[in-house]
Amino acid sequence: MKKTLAAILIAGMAFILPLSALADGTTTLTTTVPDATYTLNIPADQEIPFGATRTNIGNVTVTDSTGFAEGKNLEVTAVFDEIKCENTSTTIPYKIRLSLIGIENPDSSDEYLESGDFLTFPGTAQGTVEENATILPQGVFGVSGLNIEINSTDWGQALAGEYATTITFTSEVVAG
Amino acid sequence: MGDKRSGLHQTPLPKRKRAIATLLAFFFMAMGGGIYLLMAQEQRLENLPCGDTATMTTTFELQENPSIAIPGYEGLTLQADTVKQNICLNNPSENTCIFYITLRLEDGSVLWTSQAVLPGEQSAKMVLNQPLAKENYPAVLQYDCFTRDGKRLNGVETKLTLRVK
Repeated sequence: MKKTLAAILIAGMAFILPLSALADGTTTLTTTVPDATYTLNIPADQEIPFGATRTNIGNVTVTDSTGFAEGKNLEVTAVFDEIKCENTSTTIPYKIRLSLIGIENPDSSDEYLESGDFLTFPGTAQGTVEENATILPQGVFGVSGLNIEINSTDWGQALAGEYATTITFTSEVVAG
Repeated sequence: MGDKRSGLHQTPLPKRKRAIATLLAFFFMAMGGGIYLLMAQEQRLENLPCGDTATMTTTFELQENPSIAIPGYEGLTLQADTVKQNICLNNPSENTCIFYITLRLEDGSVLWTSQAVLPGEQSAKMVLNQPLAKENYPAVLQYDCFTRDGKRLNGVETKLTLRVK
C-alpha cells in the first residue's frame, strides 16, 4: 500500500514539474551599464595686458574619464562675447586661436575657435576620452592651448575703463 | 642542551638576538598600525555625508589655481515621484573657486540650485523644486564659478540625461 502511494506521488510530481516549467518559460537577465563620467578642466580667468595682441589663457582638457561606450566622444562648445566695460559703450572684440601639438609653430596654427564652435575629445578603446581635443575632420592635431587675439586697432578704439568677459563651455557626450 | 628523552634539540636564542627580534617585531607592529590609521583616515574622508567637509587643515597657503576642474556626467539617476534625492555634487579639492550649481531641464525650468560649494566640499542632498515621473529627461548642470571675493570666473554647462526611476 505504501509503495503504491509513493509511486502515485512520484508520478504526480513528474506531471506537475514540467507544467510549472511550461507556465513560467522566460528567464529575465538584467544589467546596469554605468553612465560615463569625466572632469572638464577649463581656464579660470586671465588678465589680458593692455595692448597685448596675443595672450595664452591655458587649455581645455578632460581628465578622469571613464565609462565611455564605444563610439562615444565628448564635445565641448565655447560661447563668448566681446569684452565689455560697465562704464563705457565701447567693446573689445577678440578671437581665440588654437595652439596645436605636432605642427612646426604650435602657437601659429590657422585654427580658430569661433563662439559656438566645439572641440572634440575622441573616445578611446579603453572607455575613456583623449585628454586633449583634436581638430576634426583631420583628427591628427591635438589642441594644446587657447590664445586670445586682439587687434591693435581695437585696443586703440577702446575708451578707458575696467573690461571683463566670461567664456562659457558646454560639454556633452555624443555619438561619434 | 636538548631534551634527549623526547628527541628534541632546541637551543634558546642568545639574549642579543632576542632583543633584535623584539625590536623588529615592535617596528613592524608600529608600521602596520600607522598604515591602518592612514587607511582609516582616508575611509573616513570618503564616507563623509553630503554637505559635510573634511576637517584636515593645511599649514601652507594654496596658490590660486589658473584652471577649474568641473565634474561631468553623462547621466544621473533620480528617484521618481519625490523631491528628496540622495545625490550630492562636489567641488574638487584642487579648485580654489566657489561653485554655485544649478540643475535645470531642457526647457529651462530649474529643478535645483545649490548653496555655495567650497573646494573639497559636497553640496547638500538635492531637494528638487518638483517631483519627476519615471522617464528620461534631457537636462543641464550649470556651474557658476566665483573667487572668494565674488569675482565671476569662466563657467561650464554640462548636458546630461536624468534617468528617473
